[in-house]
Parts: sequence; C-alpha cells; structure tokens
Amino acid sequence: MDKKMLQRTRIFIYLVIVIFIVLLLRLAFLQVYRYEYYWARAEKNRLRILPITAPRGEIFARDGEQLVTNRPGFTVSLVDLGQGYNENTITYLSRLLAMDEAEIWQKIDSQFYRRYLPVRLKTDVSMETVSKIAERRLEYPGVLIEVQPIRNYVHGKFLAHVLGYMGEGVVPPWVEEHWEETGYEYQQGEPVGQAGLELAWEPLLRGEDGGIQVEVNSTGQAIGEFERVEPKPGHDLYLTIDASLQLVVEEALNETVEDLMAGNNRYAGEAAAVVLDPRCGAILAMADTPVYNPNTFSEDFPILEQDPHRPLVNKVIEEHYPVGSTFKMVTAMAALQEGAITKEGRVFCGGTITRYNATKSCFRGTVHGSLNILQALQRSCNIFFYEMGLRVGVDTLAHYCREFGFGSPVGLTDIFGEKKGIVASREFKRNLYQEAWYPAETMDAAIGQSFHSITPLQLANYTAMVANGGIHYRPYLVEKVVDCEGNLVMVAEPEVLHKMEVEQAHWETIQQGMSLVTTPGGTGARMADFPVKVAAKTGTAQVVGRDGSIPAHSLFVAYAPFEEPEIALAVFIKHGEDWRGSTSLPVARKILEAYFQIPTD
Amino acid sequence: MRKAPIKQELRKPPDFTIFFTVLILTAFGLVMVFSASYITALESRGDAFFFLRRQAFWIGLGLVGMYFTTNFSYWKWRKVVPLMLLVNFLLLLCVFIPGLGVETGGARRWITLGGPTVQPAEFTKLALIVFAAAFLSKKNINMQDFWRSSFVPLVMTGCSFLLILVQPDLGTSVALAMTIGIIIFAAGIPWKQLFYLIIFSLPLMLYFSLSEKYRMQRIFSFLDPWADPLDTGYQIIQSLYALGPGGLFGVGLGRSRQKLYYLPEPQNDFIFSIIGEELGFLGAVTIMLLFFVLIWRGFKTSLLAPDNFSSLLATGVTAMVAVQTLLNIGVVTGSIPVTGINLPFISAGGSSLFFTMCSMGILMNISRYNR
Repeated sequence: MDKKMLQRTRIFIYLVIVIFIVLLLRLAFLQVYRYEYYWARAEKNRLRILPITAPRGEIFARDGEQLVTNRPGFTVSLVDLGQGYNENTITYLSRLLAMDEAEIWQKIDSQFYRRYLPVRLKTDVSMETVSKIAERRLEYPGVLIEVQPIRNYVHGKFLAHVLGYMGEGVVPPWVEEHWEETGYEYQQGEPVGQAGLELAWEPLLRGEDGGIQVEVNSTGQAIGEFERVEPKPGHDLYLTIDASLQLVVEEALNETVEDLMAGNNRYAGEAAAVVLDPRCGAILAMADTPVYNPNTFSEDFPILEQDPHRPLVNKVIEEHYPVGSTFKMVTAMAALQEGAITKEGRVFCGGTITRYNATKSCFRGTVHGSLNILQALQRSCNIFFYEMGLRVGVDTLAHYCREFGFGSPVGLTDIFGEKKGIVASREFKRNLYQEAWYPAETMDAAIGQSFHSITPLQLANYTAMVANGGIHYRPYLVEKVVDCEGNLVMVAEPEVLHKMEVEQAHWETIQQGMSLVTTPGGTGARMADFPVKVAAKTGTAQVVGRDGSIPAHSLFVAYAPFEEPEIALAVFIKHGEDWRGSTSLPVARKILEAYFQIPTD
Repeated sequence: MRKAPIKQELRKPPDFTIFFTVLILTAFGLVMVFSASYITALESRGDAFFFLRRQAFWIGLGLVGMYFTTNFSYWKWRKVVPLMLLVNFLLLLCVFIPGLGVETGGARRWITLGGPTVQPAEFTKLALIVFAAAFLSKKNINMQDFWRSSFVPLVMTGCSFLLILVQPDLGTSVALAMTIGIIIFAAGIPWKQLFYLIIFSLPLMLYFSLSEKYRMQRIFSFLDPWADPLDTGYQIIQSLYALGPGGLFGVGLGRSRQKLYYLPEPQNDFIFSIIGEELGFLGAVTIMLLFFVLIWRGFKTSLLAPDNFSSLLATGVTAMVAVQTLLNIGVVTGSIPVTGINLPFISAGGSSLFFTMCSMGILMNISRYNR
C-alpha cells in the first residue's frame, strides 16, 4: 500500500468527520434550537389544497333551449388545522346546519386518508347561514365557506326522468363496474349523477377539478394563494329532444291524468308517451307522469318514495304494461308473412268465436261481419285476429314479437334502466306457472292480452318499425357532445340494430290498414279531420279486476305523415279508458298538432 | 507492499461490524419505509403493505448478493471489468429503448423485462468503481502521466455521467462523479493536475447550472425556500416542517403528519425527514452514527487492505455510501441544493438497495485479507 494513498484516504476520513459534525449541528439547530419556531410554523401555517369543483357540462335541447346549467352556491367545509377537529365547532355547526353531530363525524371519518383536504359538510347553504358563520369565524376556527357550482335544472320538473338528478350517494354496482372497465374514476361521497343522463353521461359531464394551494392561518382562513390549477369544465350535451314538443307532451299527459283523477277514477295517475323519428331513432319527446323535481330531489325524497304513482320510476323505459289492440300489427305481419291470410282474404265476425271450448267475443260484443285484414285493423276486430293467432300459432307469434323488439331492451343506452318486458310464450308460462300452454290462450296473445307486457318505448319503436318498413334503429337522446371551448366531441350516428326480412308488400298492407284507422268507421275516427294523413292504431288493454269495473289502459300509437313518416309515437294512459272513452287519442292529437304546427280550434 | 493473489487459507473472518451495521440499517429502513408509506400506499394502491413487501423482497435479495460478494475473492473482480463496462453501457442505453425502458414521472431511469424494474445507474456506480480501482492500481500506471492514468476513468465516468444526466437523474450522476473523483484522488493524482481539472470543469458546471433558469432556481432555492414555497422550495419547506417539530424525542413512531401528502413520496429521498419527525433529534443522530461507524470501518478496511487494488476498491465503495449519505442528509436539512438522491439502506429502493448491499459484501471480502 502506497504511503501516499494512505495519506489521501486519511484526508477523507477527516473530511467525512467534519461534514458529519456540520450536519449534526445543522440538525441540532433545526430540531432543538429552532424547535419551537418550526413547531409553531408547522402547526399554525399549513399549506392546504382547496379543490375547485369543475362546473358540470350543461344540457341543451335540440333547439338550443337550456335545460340544465350550474349556479354558484355556498358550501360549508371543515378544515383540520393540525389539532384535530374542535368539538365546540362541530356542535355549533350541527345546530346551524341542522345536521346530526354523528353525521358530521362520519363525514370527517370517511375522509381520514385525505384529511389535509377540507371536509364538505353541506352544499348550497343560505346567504343567512354564510353570514352567521362569517361573523363568528374567530370563535369557531376551521370553518370554511367555499363557492361551488350547484346543479340547476332550469325548468324544474321538465324532462326530469331523462335528465336525472345529482346526489352524493353511490351509483348502482353494475354502473360502477362499467366505469371501472372504461377507466372512469369517481370518488365516493362526491356529487355524482344518480339517474337519467346525469348518471349515464357522468364521465363526460363531469369535468376535471382544479385546485388552489393556499397557506392557511390558525383560523383556517387562506392568507396566501400560491398555485392555482383551473378546473376543466365538463362537456355539454345537446339532446334530440324538441323542447317545445316535449312541453306539449308533458302538459297533455298531466292534464289528462289530472282530469281522470278529478273524475273519480281512483285507479288513474300514471301515463307515458314517446315520440321518435322513424328515420333514425332520435327521440323527440319522452315524457311520463308523475315525475320528481331534480332541484329539490333530496328534500322531496321521503314524499316521492311514498307516492303510489311512483315518481321515481321512468315509466317510458322502466315499466312495462299490457298493450291491448295496439299489438295487432304484430299478428297481422305474422299472418301475412306466414301465409295464414292474404291481403284479400276474409274472415267472418259474428260477434263471438268458440274454439277449444272457449268462447270469446269481439270488443263490447260488436258484430263486424265479413272483413279483410285492412278492415280488421281499421275496426280492431278481435275475432279476425283470434283466428289469425290460431292459424300461425303462439310460437310464430312470439317470434314476430321479438322481431319487433319486444321481450328485450330496444337498445337505448343514453339513459340506463330499460326493461325488457314480456312476450307471451310457452316458455314464459312454463317458467311462471309450471303449466303447459292452452291453445285458447293463443287467441288472447294474438290481440295483445295474455302475458304480453311492453314498455312505452318498445311500443313507439315498434310503431316506427311499421312506419319505416322493419328497420330497428337504436333509439337515442344525445345528438352531440361539445366541449367547453365549443369543439365537437361526438355526434350521434343512426345505428341499425335489426332489419326484418319480410315481404315489402306486407308492410304496405299493414300501413294501409293503420291509415284506415283514422278514417270514418275506424276506431280512431276522431282523427278523421286531421289535415295530415296519420296512420294509427288504438288500444284498450283490459285489466281483470275482482269486481270487473277497473278502467282499461288507454293506448294509442301513430305515425305521420303517412307517405313520408317523420314521427312515430306511442301514448299510454294507465287505466285511462273509462266512461269517456279513449284518453290517449286526444293526447296523441295534441302531439301531432304541435309537431305539424296545426292551430287548435 | 504485498501482492495478490493470496492463498485461500489465509482468509480471516470478515469484519462483522460492517455486517451488523448494514443489518441494523436495513432493518431500520424496513420499519421506516412502512411507517412513511402505508397511508399513501393504501390510498393510491389500495395496499398499505405495498412498499413494505417490496422493501423486504429487495433486502432478502440484497442479503443473498451480499453473501455471494463476501465470499467472492476480490481479485477476481479484475477479470470481469471489461464485461461489467460493456453491460453497464448496454443497460444505460436500454433505458431509452421503448418497451424495455420505463418512463415514470417524465424520467426514463428504469428498465424492465415485465417483472420488477431495475435502475441501471445503480449498476453503473459499482461497475465504474471496480473499473477505476482496477485501472489505477495497474503495475505500469504512472499517475504523473495524466492522459494515460486519471484521464481514462474520467472519460468512462463522463460518458456514463451524461447518459444518466439525460434520463434525467441529477442526483445519481453527481454521486457517481464524486465517488470516482475520490478514487482518482486516493490513487494519487498530483495536486497540480487536480487543480487544472477543477479549473477546467468549473466553467462547464457553471454553464450547466445556469443555462436553464429553472435549474438555477432549483439549485439555489435551498438558500431561501420561502421565496418560492410551492415549486422549488416546496420539498425543503415540507422537510423542515417535518424535522423541526420532531424536536429532541420526535412525535412518535408512525405519527408523522408530514408523510400525509405534504411531503411527496416520503418513503424515498425524504425518508430522513420522517425519521427526524417521528424519532426526533436522538433518532436521527443514532442513524447518522450508524452510518459513521460503517464509513469509518470502510475506510479502515481500505487502510489495512493487502494491495492497491483492494485499497482503492474499498475506498470506492465506502466513498459511494458516504457521498450518498451526506448528500441526502444535506438535502433534507436544507443545507445543500436538492439533488434527488436516496439514503442508502433506508430509503425505499430496489436495485439501489441490492447493489449497495453487494458493495458492502465486497468490502467485507477485502476485510478478510486485512493486515
């Protein structure tokens, strides 16, 4: 070993010792000598990150009418200033905000791992509360008032079931799973869409939160702002909904139901209607009654939950009902395509029919005499369709039901929750009652009774398929998505989900039959004076009650103009067929009048 | 002066002080990594034990590596020098190959083959220490002839330095340069040459640090971190807010508040602040004394080493630990600019922990032949 090397290595040992001593002194200076200074500074002056909530995307109708926007609201939050939370402050806040102390503690606990962030206690508090807190902020340290965007549904209950509402609750597990797959992260306890578009479009509506890093003093007031990351607003949705048409539909449904209820119809109270464009599947109006007010959802919830007419349920897609005679185009198509009858073939209606030991009569015992398929549709002859049902059999009938989109969701994905409904079939009965199918039941199935149960949206989609010659478009509500700078993010493209392979001539036959419904002699003769040629079908779905006096459901489907269909619609009034006759037809008429801008008399 | 090789039978037991110090430091590191990381790990990875498990895995691997190097006769390292240099440069280049290199937080420092990621720069340190020690201890080396002695390891180091610098990893490249510098100094570079070397490299260093405004700000922010508390001064302030309130006895193990998101990645470069906060001045000094014992035993091994190669090798690995320890503690106490270097044996680490432990094995092997 070189002498020189030894010498030089020794230099290092001394150098390292010196540096060690310097660092020890530095550490002693920081931790012992300046302990109180740093302790006080660290305790009292803390850097906090105050999140700035991104404004959610706004929602507009197709005509630009603003439906959902945001307004500034005050939020009361609590900040940990390093000494934990002050009991007095929490007692004070619980009184002021009318919250349980336990509830406040629970909110604090739920944020344990992010306790450097303010805990939001109550959003959208009154100006009065804000000034009370501001007056006493020295007494109760750590209380923070933030301005946050609050969701504002401009027209209250308007379009409520489509728009949905916001809440701080959780989302359904399957939605959460779906989001996980698509990589969307949502924070539990943060406001999140709870239904309708707010839920289904949450990932695009929600922007990216920003934040300010501030230094706060011992009372939690920001004393200096350091860095500010601006929030990125969410995307705006433009709907296919025509706001003025939607308004007409909603008002017509509400008036009708109110009339029914005022007229001592104790069963009435629910109704639904959908209008869509048979050329692409765009939904122009989608309404039901009753609905909730999304602005006051959480306050109203206890009442909403008790309401027997279930305002929480979107009856257009989440509920299915018997459809009665509006079903008859299915039987007609099955019979024509399967060769059970020709366009000219006739059946004699003598008012009753007896097959398989079952005697069934035409609606209200009417005798129609000999009629062909066009007249049978026009007058809604049950005997004719009983006969057709028996000729094609229940299995074929069920097959055509599915072809027309019954028995499974029709594919609306812009809002969640579409039900699949029921198609009357051997399997369904077997699963339900463990019983075989009786041939006589086929007759009921052929006129839309039996087990058939169909959502109003399925009904409208089926009407559109009759209008456009068997094309099942995916119904949609969102026309386009635009970001906050006005750039187009997404535009809806019509999507064909299914195309029925049947003879073109049969479509024309059925369409012609439907067009006769609104002529004198048809079941929809009240539409005979309508200036635009409308193809339609009435329906009366009988409900078997114990005393037999329960009013039937009133249904009406239509499309127009007959030659070049632009809209297809379905109206459903629950128990709406009382002594006054059909209540769904006047609603449909109002919708058509509004769409074609025909002045009412 | 004696000459290798020495017969196997002359081997003594290794310096167990080194062994136990390393063991205590790594065990302590394991506890502190868990304490510093469990909350952030639970939040960001849903697994509070993530860093604890990883650290335990690498300590286990490091012990295996250390056992191997303790029993791997040091003079055999000479034979693998060319191979080590080749592997070093290949690995450093791999970092930039998409698919092999992993980019994290804007830096390309890691490579992976699907499993755990490895930081090639950690291997670089060991490879260049072995190379410099082997080259400068050659019989025919004349330290007076700069171009044929000190210049060669300087060039090798310079190349690696630049490759690591562009990753970018300022801390590792600085530690590497300093370690190799110490070896060259110990090998006996004449004072005159050293003087010229400093004169020539000074303008380069100045140019580098002043060329980018942000770099200059970062380098000098330690002097007054409150001038820019949320960018360049942020980490230092948060580190001081951890150390200061720690006081003499600390706030208690596991009870640091600064690890709750105030101090980014508290289990890494700034773990010493968390130690100071939770265990106080006394805890921090204990750790520093342990490091001092290790460094002192390392230099002692070097002084008593049987030949020039082993002496320089011992100096190199000891200098590596010393440089990193002092730089790290210097940074967290706000005494020198933030360089981004971890605390050996303690900070959460994978390949850095492994190679540091292997180096300690080399040191222990040399101690077996001490005079």
